[in-house]
Amino acid sequence: MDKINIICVDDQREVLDAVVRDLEPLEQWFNIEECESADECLTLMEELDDEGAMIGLVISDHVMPGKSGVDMLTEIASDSRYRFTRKILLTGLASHQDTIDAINGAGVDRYFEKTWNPEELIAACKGLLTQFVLDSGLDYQTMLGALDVQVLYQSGRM
Amino acid sequence: MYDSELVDSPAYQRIKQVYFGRADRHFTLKRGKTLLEQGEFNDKLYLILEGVIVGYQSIDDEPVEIFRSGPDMFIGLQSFFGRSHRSYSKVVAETECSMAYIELTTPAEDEYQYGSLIEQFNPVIVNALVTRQLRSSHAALEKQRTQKRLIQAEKMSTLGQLSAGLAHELNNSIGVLARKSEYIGEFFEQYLRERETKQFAFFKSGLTEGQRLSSSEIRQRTRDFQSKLGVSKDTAKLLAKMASTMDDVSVLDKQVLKSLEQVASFWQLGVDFHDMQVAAKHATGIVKSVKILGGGNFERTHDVSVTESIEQALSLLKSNLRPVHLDVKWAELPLIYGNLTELIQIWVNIIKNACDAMEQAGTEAPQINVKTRLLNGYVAVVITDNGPGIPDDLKDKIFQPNFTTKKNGLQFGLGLGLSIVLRLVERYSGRIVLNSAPGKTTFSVTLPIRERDGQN
Repeated sequence: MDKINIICVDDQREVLDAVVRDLEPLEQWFNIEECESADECLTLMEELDDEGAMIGLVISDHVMPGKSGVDMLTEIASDSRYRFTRKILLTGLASHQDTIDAINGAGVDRYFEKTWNPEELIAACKGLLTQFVLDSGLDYQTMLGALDVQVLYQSGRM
Repeated sequence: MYDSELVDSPAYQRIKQVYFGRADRHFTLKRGKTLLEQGEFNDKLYLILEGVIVGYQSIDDEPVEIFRSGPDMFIGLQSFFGRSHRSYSKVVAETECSMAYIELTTPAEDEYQYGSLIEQFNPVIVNALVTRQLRSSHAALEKQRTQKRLIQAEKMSTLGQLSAGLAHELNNSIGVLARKSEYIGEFFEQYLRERETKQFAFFKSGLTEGQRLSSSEIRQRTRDFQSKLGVSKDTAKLLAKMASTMDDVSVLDKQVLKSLEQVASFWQLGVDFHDMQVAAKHATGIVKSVKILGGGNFERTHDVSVTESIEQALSLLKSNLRPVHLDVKWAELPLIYGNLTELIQIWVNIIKNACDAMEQAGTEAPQINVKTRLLNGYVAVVITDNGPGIPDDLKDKIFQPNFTTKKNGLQFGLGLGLSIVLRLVERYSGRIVLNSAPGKTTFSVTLPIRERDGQN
């Protein structure tokens, strides 16, 4: 089975690099992709989907030139191909209205403010990816090290 | 307030002619001469034929202007027709005045046809009452406006002081971070140069260049390396990232591939130092702007030089303007009613925006022209750049808060720059006009020399 993909989106390269580095402990089980804009991310998702690859999680900044993070996540949320894909908004500048849209429109699973705590980010990723694995009906036995035992337990699989 | 609605009415014209037409009741009042002292006995009714008369009331020993009258307006209506016969204000000639008067003893003319003196003067009295009513409500309105502005200014200055203090503190911390990361970087560079030549090359390349290729280019090269070299995806990605600052030959060297993990971590270390310095520079820039723009006082005065405000804005933006050819054409401008810091804010935001747009688009031979002009009652400042222009569908959006097309991170505008400009220009009852096509974008700002309300 191909590795499940995690896509990180941020227009500021230094920040993008920091997010990806924080997620390094997950690289053993997941493929981590980097994108510098919402459009690049959507194109990449098309490509990955065409190849039959799975996208477990998208972590996105909000304020970016071109399409905003919330708009992009809303598009992803309304695309049935990505119905199990989990979404994290990671931003330093979102208005009250943006936040409402993120929850109501994009169905964002977690909201992180910059600067984030790496342990919390990884824990949140693990929890959300575990849900993705369960929702998609994948074999979780080979990925136990990467998954959230609590979530598995609550689902009745353990 | 020189308008008298009476001028055209036949009743007034008759009064003027019958009562104030006699040359023996005409006299001239020299500029600065006092016609009546406050509280002085008065048994005359004056009509201004020419000139300007101003009334003052002494409030806390300060003379406060309470009315200003011109031709065809009466002076002393209240003391003449009222019972007190005392002037309620000090009345002074602002310019040389030609005056006419009647006295309490002056008899009514044509009483049979037009009624008593008071009856004949009725329209005049009613007009004076209405004028006073308008004057006092206007004053109340003006007072309310001034109060609002004062509260706003107070808020802004508190905020300004707070942010200036904050900026100072942050500046120190950021300064330490920037310097120390530079020291550590230099130490590593020196250390590696002497001991580990190969690692040094990778470290140095990461340090000076950072990661240069975009994420999609890296993805493409990762695929290339993967199929060409038959290495794992992770390895190929590492190579692709390093190859963004080094040539392929040195990256794909057999020795390097053998100890890839090791050299890669030195390259990454270099990039980390590079990023830290980029971030520190960003932060320093933001703090500097906050200090200057937040720290000013926001009181408006009548002696603000638009020219000086532009000069200060240009010197603030020196580093942004370094690659830009700047051409400034000054006109002789009068001082205007306003606030220097606010004006600087306007120009800084427009010019900074132009610089950023041209830098981002990679405009060749970037140029900014600033031109000032004096129009009728207005000062105009026209700022033109030869950048990529603003697409039609964005022209409305650029003045909205939180709108940004900036790529290089959140710079000090925070996507607020042009919205601040619009807000300030509107507060000055000024106008901002945007004309944009590829290669020529013009922001024209016109500001009234005096504020429309309250001033003259």
